Amino acid sequence: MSQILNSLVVAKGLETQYALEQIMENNLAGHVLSLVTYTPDSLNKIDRTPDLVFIVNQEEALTADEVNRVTKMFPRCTSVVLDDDPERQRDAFIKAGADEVMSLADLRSPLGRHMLEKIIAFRDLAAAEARVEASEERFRGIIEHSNDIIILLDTDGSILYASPAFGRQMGYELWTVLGQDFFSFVHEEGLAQLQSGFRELMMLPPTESMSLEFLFRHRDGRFLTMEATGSNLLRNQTVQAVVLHLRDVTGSKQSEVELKIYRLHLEDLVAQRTREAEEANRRADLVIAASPDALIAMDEKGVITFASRHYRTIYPASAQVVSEGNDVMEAFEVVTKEVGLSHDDERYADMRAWWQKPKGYKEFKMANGTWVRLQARRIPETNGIVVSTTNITDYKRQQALLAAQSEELEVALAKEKTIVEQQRTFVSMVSHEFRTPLTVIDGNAQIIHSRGDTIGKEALQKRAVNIRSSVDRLVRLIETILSAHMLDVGKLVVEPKPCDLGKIIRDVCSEQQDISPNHRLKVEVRGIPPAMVLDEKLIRQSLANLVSNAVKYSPRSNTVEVSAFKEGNMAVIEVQDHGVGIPPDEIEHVFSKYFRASTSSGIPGSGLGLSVVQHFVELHHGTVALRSKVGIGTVVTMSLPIGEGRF
Amino acid sequence: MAKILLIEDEAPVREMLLDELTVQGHSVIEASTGEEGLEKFLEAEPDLVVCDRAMPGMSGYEVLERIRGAHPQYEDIPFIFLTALTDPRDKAAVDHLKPAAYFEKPVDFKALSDKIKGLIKS
Repeated sequence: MSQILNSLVVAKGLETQYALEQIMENNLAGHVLSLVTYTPDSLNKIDRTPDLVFIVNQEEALTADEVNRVTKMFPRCTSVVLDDDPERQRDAFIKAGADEVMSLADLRSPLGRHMLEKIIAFRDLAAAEARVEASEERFRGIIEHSNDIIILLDTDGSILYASPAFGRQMGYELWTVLGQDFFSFVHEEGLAQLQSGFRELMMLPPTESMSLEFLFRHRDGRFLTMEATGSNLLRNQTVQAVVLHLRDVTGSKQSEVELKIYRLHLEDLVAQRTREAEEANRRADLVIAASPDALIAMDEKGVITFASRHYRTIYPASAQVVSEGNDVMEAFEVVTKEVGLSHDDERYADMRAWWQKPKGYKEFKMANGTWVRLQARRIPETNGIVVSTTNITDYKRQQALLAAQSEELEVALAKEKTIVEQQRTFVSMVSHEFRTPLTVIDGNAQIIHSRGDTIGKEALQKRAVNIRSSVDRLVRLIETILSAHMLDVGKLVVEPKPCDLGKIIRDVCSEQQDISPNHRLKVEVRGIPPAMVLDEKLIRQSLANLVSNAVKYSPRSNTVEVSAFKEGNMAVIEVQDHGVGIPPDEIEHVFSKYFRASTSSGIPGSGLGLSVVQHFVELHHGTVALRSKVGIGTVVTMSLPIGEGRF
Repeated sequence: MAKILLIEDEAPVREMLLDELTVQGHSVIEASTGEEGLEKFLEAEPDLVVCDRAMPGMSGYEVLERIRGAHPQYEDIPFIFLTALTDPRDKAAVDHLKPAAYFEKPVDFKALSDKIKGLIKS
């Protein structure tokens, strides 16, 4: 029993309050007393309900009304009126709501103590009842507001009770289902199982429970998946029913199904991805196999992670080493042996350095002549490197061919350029060659025209000779050019017949002597047959070219020697001058068309003469050769075979 | 009339020009090579030069080049080129040496004579 008693004293005077205090302390130690002087306002301020109210009627008398006001204010607590003469107004005060009227002496007596204890006992009982009531209230609240449906069934399955959650979730008014057969709401699928479960449940002791799952019909007709936990409380005096806790698991059931479908879908997806990856791998393998390149991949530590089968074809002896898991530098050492790259070879160190840190590309020629190109590519994702090896032998061969061709082309172009330049010089020279004799002809004609009658016969004759020799020079020039042209177009006709070569030589020299009175031509002919089968015109023109060259290119020396003799089966004619000569490196070109030696500068000429001579002599199956020294002179030797039947 | 130096390697041409210029009343000094011509030029200091352009050894171009380069005091002596080189590029190549005239062969004597007369008067 609690010893704590909240007491309230309502009094008009303070003396009595003090006395009361003492009483309470003496008799009811530990009790909390609140002392309040009675006024309506001060009573209003009391914030908690006391267990006991003392209404003091001593110094200042209270009326029954006043007592009634206080007891009304605290209807549930015990009100004791303390009065010196309790009997005087007892009836009036009891009527006004007081529970007891007693004097202070009564309060101190066992009667008072008994009264207080009774009050305490009542108070405790009231508190317990209140707690039970609150607990029931709470329990009801839980059941009423819980989302778990609680259903009590009788042994025959009729519904004794259904919690409000049932109504909310299943859509039924509760009163419509009470007394109904629970199983009539259950879908026939699984109904038999549920009924047998229900029978089993009724055999269970109250401490155990069992789980059941079934489809329950909502008021709108659709079936919800319900999960039930059942307990057998048939023998519990209060309940006397089978209790089912139902939970709607349709949502989670659906989620479960969805999850299951999704998992299946995922599995499908994984399988598909795996197939795709395998397919991609297979394709990559095919591509690598089909590629003409050999591929090798290594990680950042230089360990081979992949080597394509082509390595076996390129380096058959090293195939074992060039494989997954091996160190690339170890493989390199074996491969260098196979390709015949010795350690002394300067390319060895170069290649080694490259393989240690492959970057860009490298070309290499193996001992067997095969060219390969190594090309490194970094794989950013893994920091590894892929090196492809390509056989570029064909490419190298074509490159070399191309280089050779372009060189040939360059040579041809240079040659073409030279020819063009030579032709330009030729045109210029031809113009000069024509214009000089024309000048003589024209000049002499002008003189004869203007002073023909005043100049003497001798002078006139001299002018005529000058004109004729110039004409002769022109004719020879034309013949040379024409001959060159005929040779070019292959239309030169050789007309051989027996003729006197010695006479031809002497005639040519004599004619040249007439034209060049400042030079002395020495002629010596001996031992050549009197009759040789030749095209006289061609030989005469050839000799005339040689002799006029000798004169032309020896401006400061006046002697030209022409000699003819027999040597073996050949008639040899040598024409020697003491003129400007030809530099040694130019001699080989002197028989080329349009070529003119550097020492010929300022001396007129077409660059055709010697070329024509060579062709004419070759038409006679003879040869022509030239020896020369700059500043000393030149000797041209022409050899013609003796005998008939060569044409 | 005038003292003319004639430089020409081709004998028939030189002889013919000598005849014509003499008949016209000039006193003509002959030279058959460039070297000889340059020598006689410095020696005789002629009033006018008639010179072949293309000659073996020292060409007419070189003769004038030497005169213009080494002997600027003779700048006023007219220099007439005779040439069988008719390519415009050949003619352009001597322009910087400022020849007084440039005659292509064959030479019209009347035109040459008129040119000489004009150059001497000025």
